[in-house]
Amino acid sequence: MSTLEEEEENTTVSGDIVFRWGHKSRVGKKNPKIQYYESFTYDGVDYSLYDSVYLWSGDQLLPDIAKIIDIYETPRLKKMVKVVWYFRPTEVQKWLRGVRHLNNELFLASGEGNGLFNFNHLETICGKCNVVCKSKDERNPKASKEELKMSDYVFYRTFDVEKCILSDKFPDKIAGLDVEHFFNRKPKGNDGVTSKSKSPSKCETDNTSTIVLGVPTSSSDNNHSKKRKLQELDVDRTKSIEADSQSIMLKKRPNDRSTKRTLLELDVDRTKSVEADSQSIILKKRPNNYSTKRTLQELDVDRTKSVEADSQSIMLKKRPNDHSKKRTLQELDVDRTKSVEADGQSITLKKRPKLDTSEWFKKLPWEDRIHRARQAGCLVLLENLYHSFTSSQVEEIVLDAFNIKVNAKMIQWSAYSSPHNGQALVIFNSKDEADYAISELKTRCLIIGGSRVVVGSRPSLKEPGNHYPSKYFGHIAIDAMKRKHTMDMKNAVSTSHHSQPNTIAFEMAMEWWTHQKKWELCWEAMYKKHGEDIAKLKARLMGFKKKSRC
Amino acid sequence: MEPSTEYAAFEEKVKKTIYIDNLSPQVTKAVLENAINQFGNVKDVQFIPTYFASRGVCAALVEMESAKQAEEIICEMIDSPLMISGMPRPVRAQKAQVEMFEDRPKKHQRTIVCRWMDPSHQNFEMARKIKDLTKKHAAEAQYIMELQHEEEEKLHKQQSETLKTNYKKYELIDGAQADGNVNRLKAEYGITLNDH
Repeated sequence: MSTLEEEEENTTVSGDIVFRWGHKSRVGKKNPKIQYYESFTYDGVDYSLYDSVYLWSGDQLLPDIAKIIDIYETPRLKKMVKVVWYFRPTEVQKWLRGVRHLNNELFLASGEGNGLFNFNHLETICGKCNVVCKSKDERNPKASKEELKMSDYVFYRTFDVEKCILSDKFPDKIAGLDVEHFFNRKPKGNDGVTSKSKSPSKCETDNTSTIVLGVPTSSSDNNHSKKRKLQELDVDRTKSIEADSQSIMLKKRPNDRSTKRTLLELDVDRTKSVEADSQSIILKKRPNNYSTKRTLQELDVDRTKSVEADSQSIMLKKRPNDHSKKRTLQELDVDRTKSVEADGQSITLKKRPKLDTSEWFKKLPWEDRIHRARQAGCLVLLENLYHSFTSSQVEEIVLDAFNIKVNAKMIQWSAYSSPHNGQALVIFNSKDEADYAISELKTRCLIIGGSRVVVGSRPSLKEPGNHYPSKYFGHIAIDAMKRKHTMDMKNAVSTSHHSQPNTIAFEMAMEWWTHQKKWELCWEAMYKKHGEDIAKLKARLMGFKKKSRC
Repeated sequence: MEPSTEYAAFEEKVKKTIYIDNLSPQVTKAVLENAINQFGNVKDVQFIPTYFASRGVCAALVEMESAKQAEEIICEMIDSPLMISGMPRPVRAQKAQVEMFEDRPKKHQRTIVCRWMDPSHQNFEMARKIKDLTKKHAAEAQYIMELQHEEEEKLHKQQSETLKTNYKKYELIDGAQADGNVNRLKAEYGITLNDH
């Protein structure tokens, strides 16, 4: 059967949207007039069974996301799909009860009942959606970091529509279909068959044989399966392909159009260059330094492997261990500094006996002492400490670094504190001592635990006493109302309550909530960026240190 | 007590505690205790002192009877807004963390290594850069806090306005009903009014 004939049969043009059926699969069991398909092309996009798609019904704000599990045409020539839904977290907010979720997370529907699946008109499909499963279930092929980065959404939990619970566990079947179809696609074997084939041979475990993904030369209806295979090549690309003396060659048919698609879908620019031969496409590394760096950066899977260029092959072999050493240094915990920082400059703190004359006298409450110290100029703020320090540990550090006995207090973590920066207020015994400490911290560098550089400064505090109330916004009172219902208002204000959804107070509370949420996200983003900045600098610090060693 | 068991006991306490912030500075311990007692048994309330002028919020740690109670209350406060000592700004609750507490036992009996780095050390530049970065981050955090306060002030003013105008409207209607104007107008125009 020639492709041309089939194409003519299957193409329907309604308006401006082109539709074409793909590979036929079976006929209905109960009604043989229903024709099932494995794929179709709609508006220029190819869809196949088990793709995740967007569905939009014209009156929604956001499209829904679902997985196609059946494609068929009714005897009346209606094109339908059976889809299993993915839930957005906002859709099931009620049952989430405060459970955290990722920004781009979805939940796969499971269980039985309303909301698990629907039969939809094919025309409601408005695009493909890249949904990657990052479940640790053993049946799920693990997704690479690149795939996760490129994905539109991820999921690793199911939402049971019957019991309305979220779960990490995946049942054996969802909507009558084996759960394997819902997980990430298995990497393709070399038999050129559609996804229903049961014997995918994973590339990474294949050490000894040549991995050749050949495309059959028969002009069958394999257009779609070809493309899918190429897509799955994308998946395999970032897996650790240990093909030591073997080569990875992708042979392509001499077909211009599909060559282009190969180039597109193999995401060429990343680490490999693709040379299109008349007969074959061989992946080889570009012979220059720049790509080495890129390879190191972007071969997410195993940063200790390097890619050496051959004319015919890609060999990934382990590099000498210096890179892993760097990582060790980065993840230094305090205890490990003992083994690494063995030079004579480290000062180890020991437990000290409890003889503190300062504790013999009764102490004033902290608030007062801090304000007094501030006025006297003896108050110093230490930053960049570890959050897990206790106040006594801070005192010990100061004692050993400066040989001065002090009183210190770790500042308690509030919702707005930086997760990277632990702070403590230290009261020195005199202004001179405080000055000395600050200047020492400025000129020399005090390093704790091998990577934290302590910053000292004079803090600007709130004015002491209760006569300066901090600004608090958000509580409104109406005097007139108070006059009218004094009794009720008195009670209402002195206690607390939830408000009913139909009051103005509720709406206003919602406005405050929105405001809060927005700022929470701001803070989160800022601290994330801070973390990245710090990590970068630390890495360089560690790098230098390592150099100084050898 | 053994340091490790002491820490374990402390961790238990942390699990039972809720961190509440966005409190009005007028909230007292008694008020807060009463407020949360509606939902469970409060064992202890500790306010977290704010030393810096730039940190606006008042926050407190409320220890409940059990970790389960704490979790449930947090979920409830996430679902529907709870207002304490005034309206309409709700308070915010989250699970308490170890570092939020004032006195805590040491986690491990490990020694802390600190050392001085001379300016002549080759990594000194790096270390200095880290210090500068810390300062920069602190400044950024302060700036964001100020921005947040500005927005809060705006929201507050806006809500005040809205409430006032709404109230004026109701007053007007009430007033009109009270002094008979409405009835007279009704008679004049021949409209029937529905009274509720």
